[in-house]
Amino acid sequence: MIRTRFLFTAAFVAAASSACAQEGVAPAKWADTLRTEIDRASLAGDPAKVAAARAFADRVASAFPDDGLILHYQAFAMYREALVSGARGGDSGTLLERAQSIFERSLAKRPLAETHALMAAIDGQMIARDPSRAMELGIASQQSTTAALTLGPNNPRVWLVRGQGAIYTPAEYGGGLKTAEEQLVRAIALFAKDAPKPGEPSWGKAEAYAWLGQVYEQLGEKTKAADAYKTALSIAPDFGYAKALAAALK
Amino acid sequence: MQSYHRWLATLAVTAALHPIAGQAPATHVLRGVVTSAQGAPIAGANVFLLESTDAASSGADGRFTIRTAAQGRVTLVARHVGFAPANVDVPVDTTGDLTVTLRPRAAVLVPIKVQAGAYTAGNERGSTLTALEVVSTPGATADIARAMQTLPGVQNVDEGTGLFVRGGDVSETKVLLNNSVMLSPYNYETPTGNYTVTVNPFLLDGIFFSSGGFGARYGNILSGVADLRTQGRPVQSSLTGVAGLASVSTGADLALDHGIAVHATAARNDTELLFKLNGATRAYSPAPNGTDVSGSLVYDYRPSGQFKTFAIDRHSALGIGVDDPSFNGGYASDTHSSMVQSGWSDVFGKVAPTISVSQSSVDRNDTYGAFNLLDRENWSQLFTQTAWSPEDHYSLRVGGDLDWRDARFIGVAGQRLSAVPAAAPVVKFDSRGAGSRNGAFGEVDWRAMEALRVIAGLRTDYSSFTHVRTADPRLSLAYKLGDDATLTAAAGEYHQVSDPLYFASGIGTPGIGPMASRQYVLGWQLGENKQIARVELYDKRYRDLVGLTHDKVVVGGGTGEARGADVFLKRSIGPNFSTRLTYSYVDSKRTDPSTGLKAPAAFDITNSVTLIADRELPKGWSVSGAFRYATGKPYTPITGATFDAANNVWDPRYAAPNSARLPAAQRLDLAMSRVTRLGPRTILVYFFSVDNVLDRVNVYQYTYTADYTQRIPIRSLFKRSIYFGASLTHLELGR
Repeated sequence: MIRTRFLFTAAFVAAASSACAQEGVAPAKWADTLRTEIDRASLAGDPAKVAAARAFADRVASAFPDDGLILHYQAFAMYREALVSGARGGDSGTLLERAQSIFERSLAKRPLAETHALMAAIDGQMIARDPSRAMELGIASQQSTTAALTLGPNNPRVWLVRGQGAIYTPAEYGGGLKTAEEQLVRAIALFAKDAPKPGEPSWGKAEAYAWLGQVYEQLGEKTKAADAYKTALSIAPDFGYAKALAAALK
Repeated sequence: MQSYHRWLATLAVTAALHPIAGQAPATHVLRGVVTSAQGAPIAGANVFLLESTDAASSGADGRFTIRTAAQGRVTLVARHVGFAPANVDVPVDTTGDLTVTLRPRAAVLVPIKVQAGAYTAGNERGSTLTALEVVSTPGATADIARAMQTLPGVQNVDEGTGLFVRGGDVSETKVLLNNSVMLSPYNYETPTGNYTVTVNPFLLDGIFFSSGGFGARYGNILSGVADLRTQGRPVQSSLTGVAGLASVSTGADLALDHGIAVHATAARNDTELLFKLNGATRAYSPAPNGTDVSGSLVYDYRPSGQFKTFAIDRHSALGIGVDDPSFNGGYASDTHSSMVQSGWSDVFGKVAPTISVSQSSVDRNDTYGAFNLLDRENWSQLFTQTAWSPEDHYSLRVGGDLDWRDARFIGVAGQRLSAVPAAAPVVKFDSRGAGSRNGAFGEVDWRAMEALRVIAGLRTDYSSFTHVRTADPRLSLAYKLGDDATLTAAAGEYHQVSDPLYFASGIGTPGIGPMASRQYVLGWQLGENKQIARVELYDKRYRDLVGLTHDKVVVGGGTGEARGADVFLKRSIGPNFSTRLTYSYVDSKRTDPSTGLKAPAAFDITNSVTLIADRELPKGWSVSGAFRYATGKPYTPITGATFDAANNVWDPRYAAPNSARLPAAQRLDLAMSRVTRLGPRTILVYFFSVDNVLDRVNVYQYTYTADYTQRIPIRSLFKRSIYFGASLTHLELGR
């Protein structure tokens, strides 16, 4: 149960706290908790868990509305939920737009390369939903990518998001499977040196292998794909999507 | 590659079949009170625990009770509209009363971006036009000024790229590049307009355009602002080559290590082949041609800090035969201009300083029969601004600018300046106009209410040309009406010092004061991004206007007014079709310098309409079209002439100033392009356009024979014209 994990986390944190009531709990611990919860829910791919993680992020953000990192996770949880909602045929557009707006607020408080990269990803999702916005959002997406690379030229999550986007972008607009492969391989190389600070985003390593595996599948390289899925599952044994991909490949 | 979505969908169905887990029984009770800083109870506060979903509302006495099954320590949060959330970290088995104190706090503000008179173009979210829309505007030939002419408030006075804004002269709108005013923003200046803006649109990152009501940051500008910003660091290195019927160019974007990037372009333009293929309405010698080289160096020494230097050097020349039976000659122009601009910006916590310095020069030689003018100008500028944002709901900006301008005018002109023939008696002149200007401004940007944004500022300027210090208060309001609609208003005082030519010894009038305008703007906008409907009404009152008489004598003290309405509609229809419509109405009158009478302004274009449509097609194709209509420009007819035997010239007799109009101008342009991929990193774009598809004969001016017995229309330089070319870009992933 999610609630049990929350209680466990809270109890763990409480052990390091003083015994008397105090105001202004440092948001860093909540950023760390949110990071963990969103990551677990996303890897499991369970819509209820993803929705619960988002609700939890909303609650934490309502307590710390000026914390850039908390806002980042609130928007990130919305983005994850939008992907699930979209897959269920729901209206992911509203969630994506809300996530975009909160990411913008987050940037004003605490600029993160991941925030820019995810904003570019949201633009990509919006274009997929409404191709007439390609001209408007394609350039905005490029702008966000530029900002992401400026802030984090060696940030593996930036390259992961770029690689994911490249899979869905036509070759004539800078995407394509070969470009995606190149960017995902680069992301994986950067994950080897990735050392985010406490509370800062650390997701994506297993995902990078799962997406690279799909690129290999599309390119007809099934052995490489199977290896990639296997690596993804060795990093995150509960990664449901990688399990599904590996099973489908057999 | 839909497997990710399929997997998520499967999980969603599975999850829906699971029974909802029941809530564990509550084992602890937390009690307390929510109060203000003064100790007053706060009713209706939302009180909850972060570790669970347990929550309650405070009663009329501020008291609350929460039952929870949580264990250990919990974080109890209290929230209420108008207060900052507060939390306490307590053991869950606390039995005494908890007190949570809330302190006032403004609501989280959603940005209000719409401002009266302001439009943006570029890559930023919420831009009125995207960068792609700018470069793909049909008939604009990727020229940013022509693209800006499709924005509301700009009158299509001639076929050039000059920005005539809301009844103002072209000199009343300034083009800025990275905070410095461009001394020579246009190329190929001819009697019927300028032909291009000097900055390659692909070097630009964004454009801010204001047709009026702009803030105190912009000084010495009477009507409009086009503020261009060059690119920062590119995402990846690339090399581009472009070849077209009238131009060959190459460019490189290099994303280097350590935050350094370099942009460079070089181009050679020559319209000879273009006119050979399409035919020309006049003889050229030479056809408009030129070279330009530009480059910038960007150094991002940290995420918020940047040094940027931009430099451009251009040379352009043209000669146009004049269709005048009494004069066997023509108009010729040769211009060399350069500009170097360097800037620094950074953000230190809540303080964001910006500094920009620039040096510009231009050497221009114009010849028209007996008239010859060599204009040499140098302009040095310094701009600085510091923005301070202590709170979300307000920020302060203070800054100033200094400039030094030195202009020298050497030449010969007919004793009667109306005399064109090269054999006419002439006088020689060598004049200089030099001076400096300083300005300072302060501006507050305040969210007075959640739905109301107020920008109030004051600037003051002093020019050694006029020896007058001016003070300009300015105010801009934007009020959100629901999610999509914004009501805007602006009012302000604006001053501008005339061109140095008007002060030059011998040919100008030293001591004329600064020109002034008072502007009022009221507008309404519905929607943003791809669906926009916008209407603005404005009223401008001019005083102390400076102008030239028929004999080129500088006269000050003119008055004028311009009233009008601008409409802008932008809409997407279906997934691949977008359209935008601009309509501008203006009624503009000014004192005629020659007669002192109030008359329609020379650029009073009553109705301007532009309709643009873009269609995206499969396989990288896109096609677009633009239709433009403009009421004919006013002109002063010549009703006869008397012969001056002493000077051997005819002196014209003029009718009432600007009492007649040229025929209305119309033009239809079509463009198409295709983007293809030659390899993973190589992009080929080919483009084809037809300008003035209907081969419409637009008249932009009348000239006369030497005895003024015959009126000669000067038609557009361009007949129906085709243009084609291709660009090849090679991308490197870089970094």
